[in-house]
Order: sequence, then structure tokens, then C-alpha cells
Amino acid sequence: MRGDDAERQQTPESARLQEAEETLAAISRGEVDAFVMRQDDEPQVLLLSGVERPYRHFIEHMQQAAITLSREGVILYSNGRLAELLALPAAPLAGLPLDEFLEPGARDVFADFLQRGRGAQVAAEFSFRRADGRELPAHLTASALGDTQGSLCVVLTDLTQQKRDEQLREHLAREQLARTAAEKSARDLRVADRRKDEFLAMLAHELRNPLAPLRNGIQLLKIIDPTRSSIDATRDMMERQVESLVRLVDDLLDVGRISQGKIHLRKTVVDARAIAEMAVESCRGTIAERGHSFDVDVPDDPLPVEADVERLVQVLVNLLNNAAKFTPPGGRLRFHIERDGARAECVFRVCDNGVGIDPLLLPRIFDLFVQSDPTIVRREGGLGIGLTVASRLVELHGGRIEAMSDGLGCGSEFAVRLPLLAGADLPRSARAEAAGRAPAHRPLRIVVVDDYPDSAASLGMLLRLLGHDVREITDPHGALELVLSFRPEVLVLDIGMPGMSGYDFVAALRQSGLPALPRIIAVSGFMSEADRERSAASGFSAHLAKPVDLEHLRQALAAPT
Amino acid sequence: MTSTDDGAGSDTQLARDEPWDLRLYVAGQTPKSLAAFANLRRLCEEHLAGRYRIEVIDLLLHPRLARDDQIVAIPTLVRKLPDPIRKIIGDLSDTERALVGLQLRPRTA
Repeated sequence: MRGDDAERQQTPESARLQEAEETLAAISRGEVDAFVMRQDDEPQVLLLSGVERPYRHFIEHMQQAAITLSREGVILYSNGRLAELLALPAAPLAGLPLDEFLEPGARDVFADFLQRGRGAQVAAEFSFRRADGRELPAHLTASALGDTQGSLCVVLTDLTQQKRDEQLREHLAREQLARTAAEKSARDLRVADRRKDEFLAMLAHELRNPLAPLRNGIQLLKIIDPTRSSIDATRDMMERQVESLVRLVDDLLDVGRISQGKIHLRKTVVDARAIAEMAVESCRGTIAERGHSFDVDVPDDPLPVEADVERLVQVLVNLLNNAAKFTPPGGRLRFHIERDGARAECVFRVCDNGVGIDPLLLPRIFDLFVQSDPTIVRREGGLGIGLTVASRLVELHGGRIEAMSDGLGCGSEFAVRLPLLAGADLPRSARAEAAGRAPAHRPLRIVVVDDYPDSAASLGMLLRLLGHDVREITDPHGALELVLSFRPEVLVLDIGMPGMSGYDFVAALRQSGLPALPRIIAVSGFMSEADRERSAASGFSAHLAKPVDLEHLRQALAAPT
Repeated sequence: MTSTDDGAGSDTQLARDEPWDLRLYVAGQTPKSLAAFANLRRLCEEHLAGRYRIEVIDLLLHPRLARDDQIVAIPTLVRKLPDPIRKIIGDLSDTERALVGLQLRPRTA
């Protein structure tokens, strides 16, 4: 209360003095940031420099470089961003001409740009050179600051990221194009690959046709005159050549079937030793011919495996033939069958001391068309598909095949591993089965139907030489009448005939009123699993592949109905 | 809640029922101007709730209004009512000093 009284009693002078003191105190405490000044008695507000702090903060922290340029283009002020963008130390850039950071050739254009900026705000892109030598693409705006000295405000935006994005977009677009092209060529390749597979299958099929009569002819020669040794050598040569052609064609067919997933195994429980022996039997001749020594080591105990005997023999024969082929004459070959108890596997090992395998090639040795040494292959023949077929067949058996070699000239070893069957009862040995000779036969009435005249004729001749009464015919329609009139006991029937397939033929035969159908042996060049099943379902008693092997034909004829 | 009854005793009786008329002189939105306005609002809500009025005068827009209260430094707060007129110079960041200046609290020193 007394304070108020004191206030009230203040004289105007003391009040003014107190206000002046308080003003000074507030200034010294920094609580004031503007003053009112009087010029010609007109009050004007003067802001203290600190008040621009928020604006300065914006300027200093914005992503663009902000520059004040003198009329001459010299930097009066620049924010920290300019130094950053030019990769310069944070030292002030004031006093430096801005165009110093431009390519010399661009300076005239820049001067013109600034000149226009004094009239109105202008914008353009310039490329600056950073202190580290890199380029700084930038967007610039320039406008008059509005002072009497003709200063300019310049705002510089870094376009590096934008340019990079543009490049990236272009790059992505190019990549997309390339990917589209790659996808197209992949599609084209798949189509070409499928065509190749189809071509191979077709080729193999077509190759079989001329082979059939050739083989029959050779076997015919054997039967006609077994005593004339003068032609023996020629005949043997022809037989060998035909056999190797048959093998090539078979491999081709197999590759086609494997790559199209059309191969099926007919697995039975067999003794691996029997399979090994069968393989050895078929290769002994070739191996002996080349003068190789040949050790075969078979254990005493049976090794039960579940396998397609024919296919597995094919695999081992392929490995043994390769060993013989890729070992110079007089080499050493070994064939071991062993039990790998730890893995419960049966292992077939084929070793030689031949040309070996290039270590670079070893990992790809089972790939299609890969061959060790082209010069040897040219000399020895082969398409480079045998190992592919072998490895795929082994895989289909749930096993695997391994190739080992210490390098060129160091020999090779191939191991086929199959899972052993635990406690399986082995049926009558496959060996005995295979070795079983056809029993003595009685003469049969036989009709051979094959649209390929040479095949029909040569097969007919063979059968006739075996003592049978044979009629051959190439026209299936005529064949129907022939069967009805001749009443054969056995019909040897080509499945793939144009106009009327073997199946159609049998169906027609069933409707012909024949009291009993003859025994039917189907013969076809292209024998898929489906064909086998279909021929069995159609009541055929055997299904033989072209070219027909004499021994198989004998067995088929001798088999009980 | 009577915010004026802050234990300052009879000093505040004068302020008890009278309306307060305050005038704040600022210069645009300088930091001190903004701070002064914020501090004044807080202070009035705490001590003069419901019976105060603040008039903000921007001297950047109306420099001539500086004459009325003979303003020199900005911000400056002028208490028009209750009588007598009092000026407090600065951003009112020191609450104690501001309360004393407005005579809402007795001078202690």
C-alpha cells in the first residue's frame, strides 16, 4: 500500500527517470529486440539484428544453396550449403566470383543469366565443378535483392540425385528391354530345344528302320553258311558295325525319352552280381579286341538290389565300353562289385589306366554332349550322350554315379552306387534266366505284317530259316484276308503302320469271326512304356524292339502262350 | 479459484474486483514480441482470470501508435487500468519481476 502511495506521489521527472532505468535494464537483460526511433518526429521501428535469426536459420539449413551476389557477380554472402555442395571447407566464400566454379565456357551464358535476373526472376540449369573434380548439376534462380547496389539473390538446387534418378530410370528401362529380349530368346530356346528333342526322337526312329533289315540280313548270313570262313570276317565286321549303330540309336532314343521324362523302369529284385556278369559278358569281346587285361572281382555274397535289369546292364556296358575305348590298346581294366556296408550301398567300380579326364571337364562329364577329348572321340565314335543316359538311369534307380580321375593320362574310375535291399529274398537268379536257352521248337505258321518291305522280307527270311512256314505282307488290309485264309499260329505285327496301326489291325481281326486269335508278337521301332502297356492290354504275347534280335525272337516264339 | 488471493496481503485488494486493461506493444513477430505475448497470457490466466483484456499493438504496422504511450523499446507492456498507468519493458520472461511491475506482488527489495 505504501508502495502504491509512493508511486502516486512520484513526480513526472522521477517517473521518467525510473522508466529510463527500467528500459536500460531490460535492454541489458536482452528482453528487448526492437526500438522505436524518431526521425522528424515520425516514429520508426528498428529491429535488432538478432530478430532475423529464424530466417537465418531457415537459410542456413535449407537444402538449397542461398547466395547474395554483388553487381559484379562476386559472392557477398552464401549459406553453408553452397560450400557443402561445392565440396569446399566450411570457410566463408564471400569475395569469390561465383562463376569461378563454372566451366570456363559457361561463364558468358552465366553473366547473361545474372543480367536478366536484375529485371525479373529467372531460372536456368548450370553445371558446376566441385572441388573434388566431380560435376554438380544445379538449377539456379536469380532475382534482384532490391537494394541500391544492384545485388542479386541466387538460389541453387542440387540436381545430382535427380540426374541420378533419371539415369537410373533410363537404366531400368534399358534393363527391362534387355530382360524382355532375354525372356523372348529363352522362350525361343525352349522351343528350339523341344524341336531338337523331337528331331532326335524322329531321327532315332527313322534310323532304326534301315537297321532292322541289315541286322536280319547279317544273322541270315550266319545261318545260311556258317562254314564259309572267307566271309566270316566281313560278316563279323558288319555285325559289329550294326551293333554299334544300334547302340547309338538306342542312346539317342533314350536321351530323347529322358529329356521328355518318358522313361519308366521295370524294376525287379535282382542280385547285382548277376547284372555285373551280364554286362561283363557283353563287353568281354570288345575289351579283348583291344588287348586290354581285364580283372573282374565279384564278392561271394549276393547283393540284392531293386533294378531294371536291362537298363542297369546298359549302364555298366556303357561304362565298360568307355573304359575300353578311352584306354590305349594293351591297357588295364578292372571291374569290381563291392558292398559299402556303412552306406548300405552296392558299388560297381569300373577303373582303367587310360586317357583320364581333364579336371576342368570332370564336373560336367555327365552333361549332354560333353566329351573328354574330341580327337579320341572322332577316332572312336560316339555322340557324347552315353554318360548322360547312364547317370540319368542310375538316378532313376535311386542311386548315383561318380567319376574320378587324377587328370589327363592318369586313367579314370567310375562308380555306380545303388541302395542295397535289406533282407530281400532273391528270386531265381536273373543270370540263369538270361542264360536260359530257347527250347527246341516246332515249325509254326507265321504271318509277318510290316509296312516296310525290307523289314518284312528279311524278318520273313529269318523265320523261314528257323524252320517256320512264313508269309510276309506289307499291306495291313490284305493282311487281314491273309490271316483269315492262312490261319497262322503266330502273327508278327508292326505297330506303327500308316493307315492302320497294329492295334487297329488286332481290333479288326477280333471282329473278323476268327475262332481263335493267333499268338501276336508286336514289333515296333519306337517303344515307350505306354506302348508296352497297350500292347500287353491288347493281348500281345510279346513286344520286341526293332531291329529284332534273333535271340529275342526265338524266345518270343518259344514262350508258352 | 481466485487467483489474485496469492498471499500478497492487502496489496492486492486494489486489484480484487477492478477490470484490467493491458496493452502490449510489439514489433511484428520478433522472438521477444512473441515471448512477451505468451508470458503475458500465462500470467493473466494465473492471476487475473476472467477480468483482463489484452490489446496487442504492432508498431511495425502502426508506428505512430508508439507516441501514445511514448514507447521506446519493444516489447513494452502498459497497464492502462487499474490506475495509475504502469509500463513494464521487456519480454516478461522473469515472472517475479513482471508481477511486481504490475503490482500484483509487493516489491521485495
